Amino acid sequence: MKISRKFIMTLMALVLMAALVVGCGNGKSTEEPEANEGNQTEVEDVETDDEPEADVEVGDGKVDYPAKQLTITVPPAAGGGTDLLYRAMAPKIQEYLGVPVVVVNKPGAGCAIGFSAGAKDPADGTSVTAAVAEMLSVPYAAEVDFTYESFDPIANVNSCYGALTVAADAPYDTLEEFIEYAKEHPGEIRIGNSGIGSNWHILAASFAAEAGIDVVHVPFDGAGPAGVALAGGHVEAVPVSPQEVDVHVKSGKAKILATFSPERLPELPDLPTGKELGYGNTILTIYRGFVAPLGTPEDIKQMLDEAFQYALDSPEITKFMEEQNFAKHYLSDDEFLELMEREDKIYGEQFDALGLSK
Amino acid sequence: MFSTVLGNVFSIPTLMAIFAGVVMGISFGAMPGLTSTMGIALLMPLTFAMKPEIGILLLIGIFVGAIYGGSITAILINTPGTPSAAATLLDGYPFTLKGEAGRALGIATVASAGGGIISGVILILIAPLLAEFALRFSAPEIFGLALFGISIIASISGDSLVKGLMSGTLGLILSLIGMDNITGYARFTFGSTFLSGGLAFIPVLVGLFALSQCFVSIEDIFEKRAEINKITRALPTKEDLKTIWPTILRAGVMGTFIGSIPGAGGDISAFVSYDMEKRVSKHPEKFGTGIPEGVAAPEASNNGTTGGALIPLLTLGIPGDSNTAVLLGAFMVHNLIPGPQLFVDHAPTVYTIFAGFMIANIVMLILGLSGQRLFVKVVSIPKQVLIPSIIVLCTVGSFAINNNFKDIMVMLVAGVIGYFLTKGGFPLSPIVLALILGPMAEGNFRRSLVMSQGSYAIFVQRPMAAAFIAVAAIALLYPIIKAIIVNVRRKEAS
Repeated sequence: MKISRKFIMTLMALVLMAALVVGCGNGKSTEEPEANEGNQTEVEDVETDDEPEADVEVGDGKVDYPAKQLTITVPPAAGGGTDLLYRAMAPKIQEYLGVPVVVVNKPGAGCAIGFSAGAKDPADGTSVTAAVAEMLSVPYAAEVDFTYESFDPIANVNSCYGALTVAADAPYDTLEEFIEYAKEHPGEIRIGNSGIGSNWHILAASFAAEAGIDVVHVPFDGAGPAGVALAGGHVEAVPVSPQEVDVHVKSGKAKILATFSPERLPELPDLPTGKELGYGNTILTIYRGFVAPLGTPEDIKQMLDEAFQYALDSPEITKFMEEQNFAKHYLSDDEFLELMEREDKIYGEQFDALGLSK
Repeated sequence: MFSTVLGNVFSIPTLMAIFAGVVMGISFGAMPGLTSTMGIALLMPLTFAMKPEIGILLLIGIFVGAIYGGSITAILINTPGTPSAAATLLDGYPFTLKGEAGRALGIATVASAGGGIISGVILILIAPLLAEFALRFSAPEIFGLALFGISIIASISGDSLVKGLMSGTLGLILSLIGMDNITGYARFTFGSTFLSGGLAFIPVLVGLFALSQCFVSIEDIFEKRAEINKITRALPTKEDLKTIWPTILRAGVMGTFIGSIPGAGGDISAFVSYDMEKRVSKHPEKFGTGIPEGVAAPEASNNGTTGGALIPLLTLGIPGDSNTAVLLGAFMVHNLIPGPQLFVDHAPTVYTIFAGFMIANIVMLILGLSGQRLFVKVVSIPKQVLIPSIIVLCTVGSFAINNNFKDIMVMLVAGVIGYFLTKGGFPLSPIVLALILGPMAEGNFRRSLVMSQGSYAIFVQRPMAAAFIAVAAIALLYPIIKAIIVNVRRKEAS
């Protein structure tokens, strides 16, 4: 008797909790923003401490923004480079719009969770999503309910590009010598990338295809570990951005042969681009911009675009981006869409060629 | 420069930053679901406006404090506050059951500080050497280490090896969920975007340990079982300290070494050190019943990884784990670019950070020993009050990891599974160990094969990889070999 009563009680507690959760789950749309708000107050406090000038009165903005609040959904995790950029911009956007601007990270599943959530946000100016290049690769890699076309592009603010980095003591010093060596040693060059189907994997595959070389792609958990493997001599090359291998180049363990950018990078003016050397198709833009849920009204998008430009041009953000090695790269909505359309094709081709398409 | 460093470290703002960091770290670590990484990431924007060494020492204080703080909840309520403390509860909670929670906390505090200080000494003395060594670690070596780690399941299984292995297998199966990281194939995701990234580790950990423990405690309330709120001893004895100092030394060095390997952190090092102590111990059968070495080994080891993880960060600019990955961002914000050049360009700052790291460990020791009278009170809180509070914390923590509601579901399901497993006498630690090490072993095994283009010789040709795999094989086969030897001897005797 006693045992059964105890068991029933425990079971009731379980059921109660389950009911609670399911109940909350159904009321998700009302529950979640609240929870986010609670979560954000903390972060916002931190930010206002950091930049007192960002502490503006709500309603003091330069435009009459229709929504009460703007939530920026950031798919990458808190604390990373991408997150830092959006968190730095948020107070300046708030200053322009005159409504609270909060940053919410929705990480997981290689950014799929964040984009999936962002695409379902209401299209009334309360929500924008941080657009990063994974937006193009993830739909090819996994069964997801969004593509870049599930969003209205607003503006791009920053872009970076890949570069071919090899060990400092490698027998090749230029991109041509590297390709020649790879042709003489087919299948021996191992190129480390930041994960299967990641942007850098696709860039490396696209480069190998254009140069006509046979290489092995070794996936690591991110660009950092790939760079470490290069420094330790476990792979021959990495296609990641110059910033991501900066420490290894400075410590004399690696050298950059060429960048895969449309033009020479201002911080590395001596490095040739792949385009100059005849590999013009090998360009992938690792962009960071803003997109809104599909169907967001034109006038709201216009205001958001102005707010992002205002933030981007402010002295604080200019200084922040310089110090943090974020290259400013503003693109309007049409230019941004054009960029995504062009690169989406490259992702599509390479995913098929690599046999990775779902 | 020496006086500059001393002046920097012993200035009021620096000491206050370290103190505040350690206090916040301990609170973050002690709360199930809130991790050290999250604490550092959350507080990082606050440090942008500070002087570089002060801001970074605040974050290092959080790092050090959080790794220690996880042990408090592990010992008192059988719930690891951080993944690093998952091995601490094996011997920590039995102490509490015996009414000696204070003693276990004292041992954990002394061991954590000891491990941290050992790692600090190694960091200061031979950082560049160890960093070069850690660079030689790649996929095959990490696979060997992970395989060795998995073999530890045998020594943390408790009473029944078979049940331990079954738990471990369950953990390995759970770790398969999500996108396969070599071919990108979706496994056991049932078309769900949420599952395609795999199960988030923290909600599973919190559910398995904290929530299932709450369910068990709810039974206690209704059965009116004797409450364990008598505390007989608050501080470790002199004998305790005498027993644990060799343990602290071994585990601290081991923790520093494992921490310096990029990709391996406090969670695995704690289990490895626990296993190592059990092997060198004269009374291995007492492990799991609440003995000082069983608490000291994982605690000295996981705090040893704090200094260890800073080694590749400072000397090569390579983060050793997720905490130092966020710290790397903080360094960059202050225009301190980690790497060999850092020691040349910013020597006073680097040595201030070294000295501050040591002070953080001492602050942690003082805070821990003086605070433990307060901590043990948790055990005296009536269960009717304590359990709902823990459940709230679990829910908030699981949500906060990814701001995703589905993680709470994962936590609840894990809690229910954990409850029934506990009832069935299945140990939970092997599940956690397998969840940590399964993906590490699998990913690196297959990455190695991609690197060698399918040749298994890579595991033999690389000496360190071969050594780890050999040790793992011996660890697995040892009970069988031992049984055979005993059998032979018995036959000879009869």
